[in-house]
Amino acid sequence: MTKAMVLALSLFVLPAKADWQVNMTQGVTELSREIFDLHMLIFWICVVIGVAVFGVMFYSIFKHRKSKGAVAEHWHENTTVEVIWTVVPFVILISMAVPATATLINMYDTSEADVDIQVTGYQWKWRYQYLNEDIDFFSNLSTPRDEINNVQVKNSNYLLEVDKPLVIPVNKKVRFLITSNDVIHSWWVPNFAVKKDAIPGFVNESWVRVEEPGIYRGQCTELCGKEHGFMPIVVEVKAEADYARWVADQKAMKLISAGAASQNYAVADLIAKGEGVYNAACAGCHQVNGQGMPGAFPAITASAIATGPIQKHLDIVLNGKAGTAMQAFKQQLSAVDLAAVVTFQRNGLGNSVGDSIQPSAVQQ
Amino acid sequence: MKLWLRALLSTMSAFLGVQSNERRERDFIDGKFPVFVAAGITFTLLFLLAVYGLVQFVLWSVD
Ligand code: HEC
Ligand SMILES: [Cu+2]
Repeated sequence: MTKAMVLALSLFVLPAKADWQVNMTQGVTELSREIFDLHMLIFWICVVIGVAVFGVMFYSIFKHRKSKGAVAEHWHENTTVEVIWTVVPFVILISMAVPATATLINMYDTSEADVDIQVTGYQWKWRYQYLNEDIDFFSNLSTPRDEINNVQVKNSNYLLEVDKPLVIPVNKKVRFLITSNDVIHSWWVPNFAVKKDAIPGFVNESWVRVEEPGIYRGQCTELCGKEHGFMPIVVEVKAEADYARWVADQKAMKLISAGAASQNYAVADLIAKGEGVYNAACAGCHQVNGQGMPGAFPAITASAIATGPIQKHLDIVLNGKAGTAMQAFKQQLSAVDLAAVVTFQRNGLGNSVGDSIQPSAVQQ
Repeated sequence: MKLWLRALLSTMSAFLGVQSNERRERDFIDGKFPVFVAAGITFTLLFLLAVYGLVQFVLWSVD
């Protein structure tokens, strides 16, 4: 191979190599590094054992090969050898268990947390409730449908971006109480070394203390249905002052949205806003064009409910339908968003009922 | 060797998963089934107790 060829080839190989992470993530918490070190320690122990065992085996096969006149020995048992090969792995396992146990105990110690956040899995989004503050919101995938459908070029955070990230303060112990509203999900942020199942009816606990402000991304890691790959996790870690400001902003926004709900909106504005809400919250099931998926999700276009009495339409959106994938959106969306999406469904997606509903009417 | 002592030793070997053929045959010739059952149950209970005690000790020692 000529030098030029090597150079040309390395151009292909090098950038690709940078993207290639084969090993476990080291992470940004003391605990995640502890877990990483433990993983490496045990990995190297396994390498040494593997090399020793296969070394002896291959050497014996080669040294005592038949062509050299080796004759197999026939014997039935050797208690001493058997005891040794039982006790040695036992000792190795116990010596690995000692550091592992110390880390495990640390991992499970959720006491004395500064911030408590309940994390609830939904099909297919996450809900974050700050238990000591009056903050409660849903975090939805924000990747445009056009990128998913290969109409638009995919951005670098494709399927790893949300409309409202979880926000936590840096250098504080944050405890997560993880549960689910429907099926089993799993809340995983590799940089925190946290991966916990979200199980309906159970609360699993976990905690982090992140040392560096930044944005960390993760995914649901328990197969939970059609949009399992479309419910990412984004955590924004903020410096203490920025976090306090964020908390204050959330409370102010709550007041603003309460004010917004008492205003009257033009029907055209509701429809325009409703289309955005529909694409973010409903299109995963009912599809962007409103046709649904026969057998699983009904069409909104020409639907008896979406073109019938508005109260029944509002009712299924507010309260969902028990036993089906149609969830209650009462707590997920603001009064304005609810009014907008109902108005949009009645006057878009091929429907033209002509009526509308105001946020103030939704609130009652 | 006493019968129960031999049953005890054989049960211990069983927990480790190693036993010589000679002892195994002897156990089958003049061993008593109920003695082995009793030894087996005793060892299982002791094992559970030991694991439980170890966990309690470890948790206590980190507090
Ligand atoms: C997780 C999937 C899913 C999502 C997301 C979803 N729906 Fe539904 N929706 C369903 C299913 C399933 C039904 C049918 C329920 C039944 O069996 O009656 C349904 C039924 C409906 C109906 C009644 C249609 C009919 O003719 O029966 C309306 C209206 C509706 N949904 C509105 C919405 C709105 C508005 C949103 C977004 C805010 C939304 N849905 C989001 C799954 C979903
Ligand atoms: Cu999930």
